[in-house]
Amino acid sequence: MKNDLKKIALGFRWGRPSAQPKSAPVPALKTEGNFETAWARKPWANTARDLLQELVLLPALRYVASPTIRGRERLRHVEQPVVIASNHVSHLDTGVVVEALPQQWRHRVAVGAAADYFFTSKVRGSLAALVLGAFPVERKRASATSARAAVRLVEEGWNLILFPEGGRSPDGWLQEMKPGASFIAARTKRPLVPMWITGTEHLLPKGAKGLRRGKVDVLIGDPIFPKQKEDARELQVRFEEALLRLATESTRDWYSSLKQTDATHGGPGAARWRRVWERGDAPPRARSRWD
Amino acid sequence: MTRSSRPGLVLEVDRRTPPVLFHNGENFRLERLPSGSRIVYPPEPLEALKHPEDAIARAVDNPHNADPLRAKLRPGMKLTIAIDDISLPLPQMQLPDARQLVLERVLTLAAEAGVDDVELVVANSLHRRMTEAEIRRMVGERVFRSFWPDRLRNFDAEDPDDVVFVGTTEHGEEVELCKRAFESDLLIYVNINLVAMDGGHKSVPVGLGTYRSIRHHHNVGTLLESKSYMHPERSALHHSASRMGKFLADKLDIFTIETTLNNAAFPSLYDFLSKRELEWSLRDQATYLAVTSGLKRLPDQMRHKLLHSIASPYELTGVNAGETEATHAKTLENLHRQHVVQVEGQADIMTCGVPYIGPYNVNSIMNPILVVCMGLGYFFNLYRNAPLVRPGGVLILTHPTPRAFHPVHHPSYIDFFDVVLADSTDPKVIEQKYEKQFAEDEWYRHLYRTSYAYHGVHPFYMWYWAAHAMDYLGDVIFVGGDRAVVSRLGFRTATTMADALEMASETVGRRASITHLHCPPLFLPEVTP
Repeated sequence: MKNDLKKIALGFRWGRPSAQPKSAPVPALKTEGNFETAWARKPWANTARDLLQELVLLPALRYVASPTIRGRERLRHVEQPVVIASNHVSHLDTGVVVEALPQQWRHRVAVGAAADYFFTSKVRGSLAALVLGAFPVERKRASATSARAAVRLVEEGWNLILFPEGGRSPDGWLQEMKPGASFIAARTKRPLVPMWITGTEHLLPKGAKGLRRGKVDVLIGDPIFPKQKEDARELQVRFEEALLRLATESTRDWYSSLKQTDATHGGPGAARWRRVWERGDAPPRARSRWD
Repeated sequence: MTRSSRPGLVLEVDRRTPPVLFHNGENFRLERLPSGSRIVYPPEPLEALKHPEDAIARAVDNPHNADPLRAKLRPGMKLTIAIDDISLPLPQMQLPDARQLVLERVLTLAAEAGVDDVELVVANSLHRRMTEAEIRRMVGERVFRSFWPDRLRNFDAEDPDDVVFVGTTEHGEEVELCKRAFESDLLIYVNINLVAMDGGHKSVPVGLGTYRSIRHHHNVGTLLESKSYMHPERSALHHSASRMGKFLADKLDIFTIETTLNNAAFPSLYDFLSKRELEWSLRDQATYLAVTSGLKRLPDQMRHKLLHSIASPYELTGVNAGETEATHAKTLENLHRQHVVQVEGQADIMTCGVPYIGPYNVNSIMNPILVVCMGLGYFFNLYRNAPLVRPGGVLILTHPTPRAFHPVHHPSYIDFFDVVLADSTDPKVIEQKYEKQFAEDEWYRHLYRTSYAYHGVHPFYMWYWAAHAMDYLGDVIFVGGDRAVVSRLGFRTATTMADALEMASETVGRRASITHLHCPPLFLPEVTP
């Protein structure tokens, strides 16, 4: 009995989000995508989230990640709501994106979170919805339910944070991007704001058990305004170009990125260790203000 | 049933894959398979017929290649209805049994036509006789009360007064049959088709046949030549049965009624047995823990009773009737719709759990010879095209293989284990040296006829079913098996799955590929080598 219990607890990932084997069909659990999160956008929940974020989460994030935010001025003439799309390397990214947003935008933010990761249990899903304003997004397939929910949120005036890679990069390099963010921007005709985050992969990389302190850079790109008859595919092309330009800007400089984008942000097509090796060492730990 | 049925699945194990369920005799176990292993899962149960009674009525009114049943029935005729025995389906289905529904329709038509001379025969062949209670459960109260005991009975393949020699086929196969059936104006065969091996021409000549007949295809040579038991065109066993069936069909009016079931093998309480582990809810995990630890603690008899009391919520997915071959072709189509799962490539190692029940231990004990028959005979041969495992590969089975026999049901099995297997495990040697002696033994014959014993030759047939696997495989390992018993069977034992895989590497190397057959519920992998 004891052995069986241990086998089940470990094998079925008790206390951890359930994860699907790669070859498993989707959706394995039929309720994930339908997880009800509308309550998390009610005034009381929004106020609770504001308080939690401003008093606990963002101060903690500033302590751990000391984020440097560049390009916020590019948003000064943009009206809400917008669709924000960023690269994704760590669980810290959501907090970093929220921190990077102008103060007045943070109060109406909804975050697209993996249905098969965050919304497999009621407790985890409800916490994600309350603390981050998360709503479920099916990432393993194009889901009409997820798309409809996202479009409705934008139409209701919520800024949407999405990670088009569909999951955290295992080695820090950019993964293939899915067109969901472009689809929503094109559909709602709202601006698509690219963001590039560097550094969180060293603080809390995928699979890490502990959190390190360090320094994080966030670069906000020029908003991309969907043209009148532009469809999602065309917008996606512009978005990917903009994101690559931001990536180049983050490693070199703005002017260089205008002249030539570095096309190797997907990393070398080599073994995992070589991809990690290629990215170089972790940045030095942030200096404490008491040092 | 309103939900749609998902097809089968071949899942590749990675570090996120939960442990996989193995049947383990009268219990279950969870095992972690190495990354890269494949698990072949059955399709989900197909949607059932909404009105099975109407479907049966339609089938007998619009048969394939035959006149409607109504037109064949007339007053003064001699009508015999043969019924598949307790070996199908597995586990027994929740009531009403499919056979009851068919019988009630057929008998209603017979009554309307004014047929008086009707007899119902359980086509148990060389299987044990069914008890009164078992027959009552199978045919339903109405039919039972109307016909038992004079006109509803088990077939006795050793009764000289109820057996007739019909002749020999062009291949020299002797055909002996139930006399009552042969002398009838119409023989209706009511079948349940659980797997592709069942039914068709295998029903009448085998179900109502005798040792003299059956030995022509239930022998080592024929079974070794059968490349795929589940693919009748490639099975020498089916070719022989077919020849006999056609031979009989020329001399006798046979009206076949075949039913197919979905694969809802376990009731909702035991959902974890049918679900893919990656979809197990907390409730399923808790049920698994409760069931396995409960079964471990129960006394043998209670555990046994509990498991055999499980009745499957099988439902009818199709009924076809008419001339045997045309009917069976439709049946197979329907069966494949439920069962077939495409699998690419053979593995070096195949794993499978042997469950508590097989065709020959319903309300009985699965003795070591039946374990071999289930693992090597049925599960190994559960494929179309090619086996799941490559030639010279390894089969790993989980079963505790206790030395336990049902003394009433399986008396000849005890002697087979103690005397025959002590001498040799080679099917050919066993066949030549011992088969006739057991088949013609007066004491076994007496027990078969008057008690509830399987025929004296039956353990030999169980062993022959495994002959193809023994010939094909490089090694067979039982995880958790009784060492002395497994050694007597001629195989090897491992304490854990990890040990078994280690032992298998001696035969297939360290980079072996592994495929797990997640069965039951039953299904049919179609393997592209």
